[in-house]
Amino acid sequence: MQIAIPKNVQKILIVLLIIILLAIGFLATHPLPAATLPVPSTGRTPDELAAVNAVSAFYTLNYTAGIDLWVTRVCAAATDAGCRAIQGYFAPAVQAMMEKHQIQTSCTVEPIRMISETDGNRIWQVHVSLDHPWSDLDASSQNVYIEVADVGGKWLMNRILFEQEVQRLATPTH
Amino acid sequence: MFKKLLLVLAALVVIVSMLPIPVSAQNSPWSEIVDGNGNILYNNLTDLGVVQENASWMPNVPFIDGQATYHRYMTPSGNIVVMPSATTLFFMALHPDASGINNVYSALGNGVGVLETMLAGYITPADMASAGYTDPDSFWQSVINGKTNIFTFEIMGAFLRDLITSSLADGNFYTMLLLYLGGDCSKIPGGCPEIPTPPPSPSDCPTPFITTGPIQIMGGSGDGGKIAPPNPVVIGQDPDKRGVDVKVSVSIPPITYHYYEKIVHHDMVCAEDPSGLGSGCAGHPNDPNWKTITHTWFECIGHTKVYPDFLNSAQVSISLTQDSRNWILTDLAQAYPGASLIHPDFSFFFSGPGSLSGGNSILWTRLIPSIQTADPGDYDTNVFVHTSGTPVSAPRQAQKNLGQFTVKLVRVILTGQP
Repeated sequence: MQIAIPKNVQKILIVLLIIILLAIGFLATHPLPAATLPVPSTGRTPDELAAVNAVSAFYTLNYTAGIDLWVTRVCAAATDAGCRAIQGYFAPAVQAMMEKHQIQTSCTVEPIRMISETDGNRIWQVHVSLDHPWSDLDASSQNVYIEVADVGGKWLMNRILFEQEVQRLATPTH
Repeated sequence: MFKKLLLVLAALVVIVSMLPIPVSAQNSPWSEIVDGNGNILYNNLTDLGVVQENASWMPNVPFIDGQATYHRYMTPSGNIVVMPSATTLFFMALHPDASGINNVYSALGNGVGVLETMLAGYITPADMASAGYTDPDSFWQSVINGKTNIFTFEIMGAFLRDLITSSLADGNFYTMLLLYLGGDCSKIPGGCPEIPTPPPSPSDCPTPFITTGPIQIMGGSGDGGKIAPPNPVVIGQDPDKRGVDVKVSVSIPPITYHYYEKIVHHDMVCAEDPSGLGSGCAGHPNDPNWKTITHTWFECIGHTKVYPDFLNSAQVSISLTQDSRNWILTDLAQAYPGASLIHPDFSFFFSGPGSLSGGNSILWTRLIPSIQTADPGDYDTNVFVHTSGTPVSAPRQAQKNLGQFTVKLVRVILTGQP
């Protein structure tokens, strides 16, 4: 049995074949984005947004504005306990750093993923890029881990995790 | 968990009071620091204040170095007593060599004792067994030696949260005394202390002193130092880009220096002469029972000198409040997708010296016109002032919050046809 294909249909098939080959070639040289792109800025969950806002406030530093203004801004995004940690523990360290390096920087914060959830507290991994990094930093962007808590329906920062304890998140627990 | 930590720290304080300190021995350095009941003799100590220093062994967050905090006192014999904050104490114990805890003359046991006490109730025998230890001392020693990473225990997150949020709540929850004998102060945490100089020995005239008044910082007639316009809107909605005018005025009172001039007087006065060989004096001429002597005395005459304290620099910081930032990024962003912070912070620097006015006061006024406020919301205005100082006084600083002014956003609401 013979199948006769009209000439106009043959032309269409040839054109389609060329288009498919061109598409394969394009995809070979322009791969699709990886599936691990940062979470888009829209559609963030409240806890995620709280983490981003708190870390943004934490790493927005201006040595001319004084440490009190920094404390006020960060505490506005923190729980009561988190604010106590900011006032008692972090403020002296941040003040010393700001004054030593005369720091004036804001930052860009991109959420990466929620690491864990325990007792209503959530730990988020975010990526921080400083707009004006100071001189003795090894890198101008780093991953930061922040714990946020739901306080009466509002998500607020408990604290930023120490680098030493972040190891726990990457190693098996006992 | 908070109560648990308080109990642990309270237990530690009790342990401090039970230190095997030989206070009964008169030659013990501790005898001038604590009494026989373990009470700290604060009246006997000179408060050297709180000192903080960068420490590689303290925990840190990205970009920010960790800092150790100590309260230090000096004993009458010149020894130094160091009280680390609870957080600092914990990490000192964890890193006894790097932190210098091993250089101390006498302290609460060793790192093992501190860790055992502070983590009681957090790290259990079962946790130790899971790490392969049945003897607690061996476990804690392996932690200090770096063979066991204590931060791999999940409970450490809760412990650290409790530690930095509760122990530092009052800033004075110290749990341990470290005694460093006088001499080489390089080993003392925080470095060599600045010993307060003793008051000068009494002189014939009072010590000079200075008096002055407070530095006055004022804004324009409106809140936040604003003077115009009455109802500003964001520049994005204003074809004229009017912005906001803010006015700041500073008045620096002079420094009055009070000093005393010592006048020495040598008066010739009569005095009895028991030898009977006197030559007399003005009141008893030619009387051998009297003589003329010189009486020397001092008189202090007070003077004042007034020095103007010129303005060195002024900074005006205007920042969108955190509530307004949150509102833009949440509520406004929902109504207007893409809404974000455009220019939430303004900072203006000015140099002095200001102008000299009556009474040697310094006046300085500046109008900051047309501040281009692009973000709607409340702006907080803060003014920071530094003076130049005078030959008799150091530069001064002053700061004032002038309040907030509001920049409005005109929102359009579509309504249906009637």
